[in-house]
Amino acid sequence: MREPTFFVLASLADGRKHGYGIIKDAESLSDGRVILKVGTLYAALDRLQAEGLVVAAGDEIVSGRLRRYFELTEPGAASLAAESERQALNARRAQDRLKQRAARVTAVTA
Amino acid sequence: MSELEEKYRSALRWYPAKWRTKNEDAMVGTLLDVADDQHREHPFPGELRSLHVQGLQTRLGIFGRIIGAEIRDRVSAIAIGSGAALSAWAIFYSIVDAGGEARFYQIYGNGPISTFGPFTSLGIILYVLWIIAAITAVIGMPRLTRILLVATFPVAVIARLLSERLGMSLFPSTTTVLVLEILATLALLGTARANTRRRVWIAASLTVGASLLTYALWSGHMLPSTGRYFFFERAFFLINWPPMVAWITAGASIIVVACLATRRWVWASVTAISVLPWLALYVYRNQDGILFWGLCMLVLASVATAVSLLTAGYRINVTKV
Repeated sequence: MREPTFFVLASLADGRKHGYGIIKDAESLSDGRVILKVGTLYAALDRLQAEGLVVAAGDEIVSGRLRRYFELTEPGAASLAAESERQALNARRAQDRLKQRAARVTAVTA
Repeated sequence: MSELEEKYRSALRWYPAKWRTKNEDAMVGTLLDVADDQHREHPFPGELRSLHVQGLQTRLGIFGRIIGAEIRDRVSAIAIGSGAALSAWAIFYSIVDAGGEARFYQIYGNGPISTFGPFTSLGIILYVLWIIAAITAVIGMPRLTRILLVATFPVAVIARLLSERLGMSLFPSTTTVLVLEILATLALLGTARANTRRRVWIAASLTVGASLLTYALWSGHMLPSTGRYFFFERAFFLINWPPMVAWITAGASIIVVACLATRRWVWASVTAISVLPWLALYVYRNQDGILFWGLCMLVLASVATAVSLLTAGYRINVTKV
């Protein structure tokens, strides 16, 4: 799963959001690293809807503008959970290796 | 409707009509929300460019629903490798002093000819663009690769028209432009991601190898009186040399059959799709044997489509009524 897709799903994990809400949330969740362009976001949402991970969850007109809301489906939540677990596992393994390295360096210098 | 909204709606015309009917209003709403947040009344140039690229990708993505991402990504990497090799070859014969077409006419033609500096024609811009696109694919910059590949379409048309307008003696060959744009379309169908480097190099090597073999076996461009070779584009495209096309077709067919026999469905489809542009080129340039080669194309295209549909999860359900 690519990083923008991950943050789109993560953004929808706590409830439905419209396009602009997802962009701001993804930026915030990634500490400013992932700034989604609108075209990229809608391409991702289109694909995620086709895969059944996300569904449209109502339209609203605000100040004459259409706001379409999206929400995570159960398969979408499962996919996000699996990807989160995979990333967490990778991070744990990397941290273990770093701890081993730190211990080795300490032993050599002692 | 504000000027900003008009500009966004205009940019969204790059998307397919069906897609616009479904998403245009929601997307314009989001674009305007983002612009408001940034206190802008004009779109960023990069923003519009991104919409153009995404729109084009969405149009091409219609094929993506039929052909799986895995197949498209591999076809994309192979197309990039082939296009880069073809462009490298084209750059070589574009250098006037290297013995290209311009040099031939300078020596044996009637009167002086005009060139684009040390190069035969404005086609050099298209070829260099392709090389840069391949480099960006190999070093892992897929977004830039796509932008450069999209740019090759207008550049090819402009190079051709400008050459005529400036009264230059030689133009980028229609065949070269045609095959490069077919390859660019194939490259844009997918995103050259996993193992891109290896695939690009393999495809480039095979293409250069095939072209060198053609030159080695076919001396049609060696002038007997001078013993000199002149590197014309025609030789690369195997025109008047059906055995080479036959070998390529036979080789591709054997690979396809072997892949099918060993249940390597994806590679069967990738091979069949990748060889199609070259067969199409042969049929386009050489009307002799059009029926046979057209039939070969049809068979390979059918195999590619059938395998792609099967790997994408499509099945034919036959029931007795």
